[in-house]
Amino acid sequence: MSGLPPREDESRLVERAKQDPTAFGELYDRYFHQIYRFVYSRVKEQAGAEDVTSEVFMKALRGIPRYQDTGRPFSAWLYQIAVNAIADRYRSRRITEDIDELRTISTGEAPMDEMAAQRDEIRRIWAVVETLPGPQRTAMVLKFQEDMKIEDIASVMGKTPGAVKLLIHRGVTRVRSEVGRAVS
Amino acid sequence: MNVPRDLELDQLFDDAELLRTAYYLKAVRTPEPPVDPAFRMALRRELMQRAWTMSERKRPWWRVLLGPPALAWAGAAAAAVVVALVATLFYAGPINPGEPVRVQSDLDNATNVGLVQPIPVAFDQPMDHPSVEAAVTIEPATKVSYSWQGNTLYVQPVSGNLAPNTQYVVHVAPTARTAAQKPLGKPQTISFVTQTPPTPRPSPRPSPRPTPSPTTPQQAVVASGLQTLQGPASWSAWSADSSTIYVVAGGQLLNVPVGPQKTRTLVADGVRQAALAADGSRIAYVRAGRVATIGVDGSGQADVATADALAVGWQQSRVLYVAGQDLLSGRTKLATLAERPSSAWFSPTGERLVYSGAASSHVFDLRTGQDSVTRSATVPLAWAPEGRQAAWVANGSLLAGDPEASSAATLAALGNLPLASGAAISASWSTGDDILVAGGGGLWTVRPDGSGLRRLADGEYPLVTWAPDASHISFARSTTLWSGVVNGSSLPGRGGACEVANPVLDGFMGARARGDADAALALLDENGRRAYSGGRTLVWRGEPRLHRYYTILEQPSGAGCRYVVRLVLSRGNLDVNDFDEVLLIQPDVSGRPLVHGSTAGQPRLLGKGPEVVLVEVTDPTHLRISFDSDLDPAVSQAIQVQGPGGRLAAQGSYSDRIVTLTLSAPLDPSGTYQLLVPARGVKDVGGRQPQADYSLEFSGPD
Repeated sequence: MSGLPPREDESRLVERAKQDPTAFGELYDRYFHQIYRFVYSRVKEQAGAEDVTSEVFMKALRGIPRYQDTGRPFSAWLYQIAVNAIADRYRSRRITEDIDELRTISTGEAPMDEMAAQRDEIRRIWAVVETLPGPQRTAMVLKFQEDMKIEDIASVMGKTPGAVKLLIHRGVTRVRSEVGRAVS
Repeated sequence: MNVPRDLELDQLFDDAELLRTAYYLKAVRTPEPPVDPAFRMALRRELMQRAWTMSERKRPWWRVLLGPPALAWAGAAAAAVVVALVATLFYAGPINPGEPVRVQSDLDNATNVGLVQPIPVAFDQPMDHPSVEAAVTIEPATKVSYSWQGNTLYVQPVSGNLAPNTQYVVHVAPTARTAAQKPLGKPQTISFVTQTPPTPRPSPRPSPRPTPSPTTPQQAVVASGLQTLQGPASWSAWSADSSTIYVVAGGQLLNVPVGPQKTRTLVADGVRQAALAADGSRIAYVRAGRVATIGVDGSGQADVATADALAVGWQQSRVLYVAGQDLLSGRTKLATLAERPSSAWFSPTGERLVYSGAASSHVFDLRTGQDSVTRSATVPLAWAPEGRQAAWVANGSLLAGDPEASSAATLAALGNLPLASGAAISASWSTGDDILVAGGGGLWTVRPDGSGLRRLADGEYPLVTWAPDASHISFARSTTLWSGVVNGSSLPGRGGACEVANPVLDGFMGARARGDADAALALLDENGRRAYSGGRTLVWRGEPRLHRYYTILEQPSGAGCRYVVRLVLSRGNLDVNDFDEVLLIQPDVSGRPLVHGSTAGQPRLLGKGPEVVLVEVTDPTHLRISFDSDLDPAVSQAIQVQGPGGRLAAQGSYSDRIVTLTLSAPLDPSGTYQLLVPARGVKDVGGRQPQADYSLEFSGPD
């Protein structure tokens, strides 16, 4: 996984935070951006992303004394909390509204600058990803935006690696069929 | 695209087309999301506070017990345990085993708090928003709206501003619940004191000549060139302390101090639009197809978005902009406007956007998402500082009011000003509710209700802008930025005698607040000492103590200055009562200004009803009376002015805690008048009345 600290370094940091919660700040500094970016990619609105990100790190702080190092990156645990928090958030909301909003944001905008064409293409592709069923979307974002390994994604989503592979395969197939020419 | 091999993808996709799609997905990145640095820092602070609490709980039991505080409290703790046990057995009530919710605010116990800002109430965990909002009350009675950022509730006065000189107390009742439905458990209170506005807020005093009168600019406006500009100026704003002008000219964004300091170039070129944040710390601007922000001292440049924005503004700490037909914040689209604007302006609070498209002019309300078409083409010239009212030109007239409302006050017909045909008009709305209008060879002032239209000066004053304390104006003529005062010394509100006396007032009251009797006595002349010798309190020992003071009214009087000063006494951090003192400061025989006279009014309990916090005699026909609470507008008909011959004829209007009285005849500069605020005629939005009638003596302005 790119951009992560070496595992030993991360393990030491996590162990320290388990013993002394005030050391959690360093973990927060390292992973805030990743988690916020992931949450924002699902929630698509700043206030909501802030709510969920707060919840993720609060839960992580409360739970870190019980955190067990299973050999997976610490971030996988944070993503797992984030996935659950996002699911909780939308359980009490109308998901159709969410999807409509995402489409509004993701498509049909007038180009704003010289990069408009490329951005438009990226928007189209990710707009298709947004229309995928929830688990497919999550697997696609974690794999392609967050560069996670399939086993880590499986751990985050509480699924087997085989199930995650299936989700990604189906997701990519759908994207291919929807925006194939752009990709070619 | 150059993407590193991913063995997992290679193994997952046999089909070459799908594999290519997978790599394409890996290569293309969605834009980085907008991150509010304030949120990031606030969350970190919350986490660290919580972590600290957790680490305290993790201390070994023997350390806790053997620590000195623990030993000291051991007996009390044991007793408490017994009491709690007995109480539990007796009442058989539930004990909440969870830890209490922590509530805090950056404003708690703060003084001199700025008037244009929301009140943040931060919780240490996610909260149930409706129950929290229902549990919040604010003293003095204030209409507020709520917004959330993360776990922080922002309480925003609907009027836009907090009242000056006021201790606000925000209560959060124990009925507030966390997102997990755990009740708050115990009430929480946040209190702070707002700042004193520049006292009194002056307004331009007109030339005594009949209007319009031809005067030369050199005679009417005393101005000095501050900075040579690289080109025509397109935007300017003053810093909150009236010490610095920020200007966009010839594509440069400059920080121009009014004092001797050097001008700083914040952005060297290409700037098209700019907006100063409400807290005055940063400027948002548009340059080369990007929206960015920069600190007013030139630090911390940060990109917000890639967009060739038509307009830029601020809503709290968020940058707003209009690009194409969209209204955005960061990279988030907030709304699609009803039509593509050709021009757009954000209100100072970022709650409104006025824009014009090919078909019509609109007002978009960012709080409600409502888009209203205005009756006529609207070209805003100036927003009122509170951000709801504006001055604009429509159908050949200069209008003021709420652009969304169907009615507006006509300030002047353009033909009567008279403005040169096609002349560019600029305007500025002061915190003292005076509107300056410049264009076509003249400078005028007018009140928002259309009264008091006066020609102040001839000449060109493009981009005229009030300083926040209304002591100066700035304008950009040709390629020079100017700062000046109108009619020489007529703009600054403090007369010469008061300017001399003000340090004495500050020294005298400051010594009393510190409990330094000797220092206070040193600023009293013989007559002043006698005033405090008959049982009057000079300094307070113990509680209540003199917590703060502020000036209600300040007017030159003879060779000295007469002040009505409000003294606020407190117990702990809570203001409990206040009373007014009338102080006369004048030179003694050696010319040294000292406190010569003092009389005290009756004390009042605080928190029982609305109070007058500021009185301004803005010109011979206008008085402004500011209250600490949002009021029933009927108050405007209740306030009276008594003169030597009885009650003066006056029309009152009420807006945002301020009553403006327009007198039918001007006040006599040598006359003495009484302002009367009858308790029965004043009611706050909570239905409470002042404890007693309020009266204040004042003289006509020079």
